[in-house]
Amino acid sequence: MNELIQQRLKAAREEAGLTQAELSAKLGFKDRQTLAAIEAGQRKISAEELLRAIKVLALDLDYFTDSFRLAGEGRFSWRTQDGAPDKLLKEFEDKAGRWIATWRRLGELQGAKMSALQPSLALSERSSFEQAQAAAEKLVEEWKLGDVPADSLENAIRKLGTLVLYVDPPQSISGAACQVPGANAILINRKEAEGRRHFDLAHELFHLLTWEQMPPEHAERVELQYQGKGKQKRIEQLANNFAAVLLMPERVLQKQWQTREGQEIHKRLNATASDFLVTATALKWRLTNLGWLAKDDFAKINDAKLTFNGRPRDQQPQPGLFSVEFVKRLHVGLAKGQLSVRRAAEILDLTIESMADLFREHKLAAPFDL
Amino acid sequence: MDTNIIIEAFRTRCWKALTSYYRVETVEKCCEEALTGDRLRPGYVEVEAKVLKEKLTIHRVESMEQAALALTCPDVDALDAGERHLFAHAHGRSDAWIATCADRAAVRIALTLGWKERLCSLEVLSKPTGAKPMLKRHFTEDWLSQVRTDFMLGKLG
Repeated sequence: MNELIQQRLKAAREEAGLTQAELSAKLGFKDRQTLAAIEAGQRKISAEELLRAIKVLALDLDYFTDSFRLAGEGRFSWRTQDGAPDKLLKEFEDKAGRWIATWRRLGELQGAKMSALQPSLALSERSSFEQAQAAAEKLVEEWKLGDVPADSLENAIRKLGTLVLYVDPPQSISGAACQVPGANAILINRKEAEGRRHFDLAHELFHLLTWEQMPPEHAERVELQYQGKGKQKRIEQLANNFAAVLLMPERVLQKQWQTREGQEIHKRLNATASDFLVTATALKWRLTNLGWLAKDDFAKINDAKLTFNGRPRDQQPQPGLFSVEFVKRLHVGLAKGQLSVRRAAEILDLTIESMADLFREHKLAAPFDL
Repeated sequence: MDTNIIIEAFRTRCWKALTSYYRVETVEKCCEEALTGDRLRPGYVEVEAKVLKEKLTIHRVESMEQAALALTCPDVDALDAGERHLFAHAHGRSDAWIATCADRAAVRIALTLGWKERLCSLEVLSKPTGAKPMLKRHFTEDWLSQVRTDFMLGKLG
């Protein structure tokens, strides 16, 4: 029995709010047991029955048969610059879901190790900012993130089994956290300034580590000082506090900040932000929360002069599309015939030629000559 | 024939020879794919619709054929829409036919479906037509033979 079809049939029925008896009646089965046996993998579904289910549930064949697509699974939380339209998010979410499903499917075929455990932080919306900050400080130590945590954070996240993908989304999308069974992922807009990318990464990590107790909104605006209300405001503030400490731990920040004592405030902020590969604005709020910015210094700050987002733009490396680990897994998949070249290009939304370029970008020979 | 083969046959200018010598068949989706593409990108191969369809038999693939294949061979989701439609069409036929593929996944699935004797490279197919196309490696008999061997040795999938 095709396990995927049986799982997805059950998921689609539940999503439609139908009982086995109700769907059985719509499918023309004599009794509920037939559908129960199909869902349990004890009876095969015929092509005719499958087509009837597609019609009744208003879905397509791929929903039931395509393991390179998320169907009825996966939760996304998008970070947008100016409130991206729902349609745009939906379209991009569909694409991103295929990348993540492909990563998971190829991992299964290639025997990649996947932990049954889901890492999480012991925080809730009732936690204080200090508790979120303390959790970040502990992770800096535990993961040995060093003096420039932004440099090694991505590797630490990968070790958790989380996929990090650098993508080219529509301009208004900064990134996303995606909670998918067996394949959590963080998507980052690779065209954003380095400092913003690092903050997004740390912020989305918080959401992945606290999803069950503090599910984030489907779409949130990028704001260092969150303007929303109620519970979501609290969650975003906790996420920002966590991210700021993870990237600028107190002990190292104190040293770097004091070294530049006496410098003009904008110069001092920009140079220190560059040390940490974060935005000067994020640094300003971190220092404010620590109480290290004098009131008159704070008043003097002109945000327009906080120009460094990590390093000066021309010195910032832009990450390759997707990621080395993703492209390597795809490479093996193509070489072993686990998916066809055209299928891979379709999923990645690339032409075959640009997919060959993608392999070259990641220093791999294209495993095809078509 | 699938999209890859059609494009390579046009690139190497052996399409007319092939369709004059054989009764060449494909599915609507492969035609659509062969005729779609960014004309400005490097390496783009122009497939002229009139020339493509002149002597080609094009099949429409029904949902029932696609569902039947997906149930027989769940792995078929490794293929793109054109390849899947072509396989769904072939799966429902009991007459004499041979298929030509240039993709590892497509060859693997064809072999899984028991089509070993039906697979043929574009190189072998073009020999009796008198055409001498300069084919890329995936379209040669050497390549197909290597992929068959890899499949037999359990190196694929």
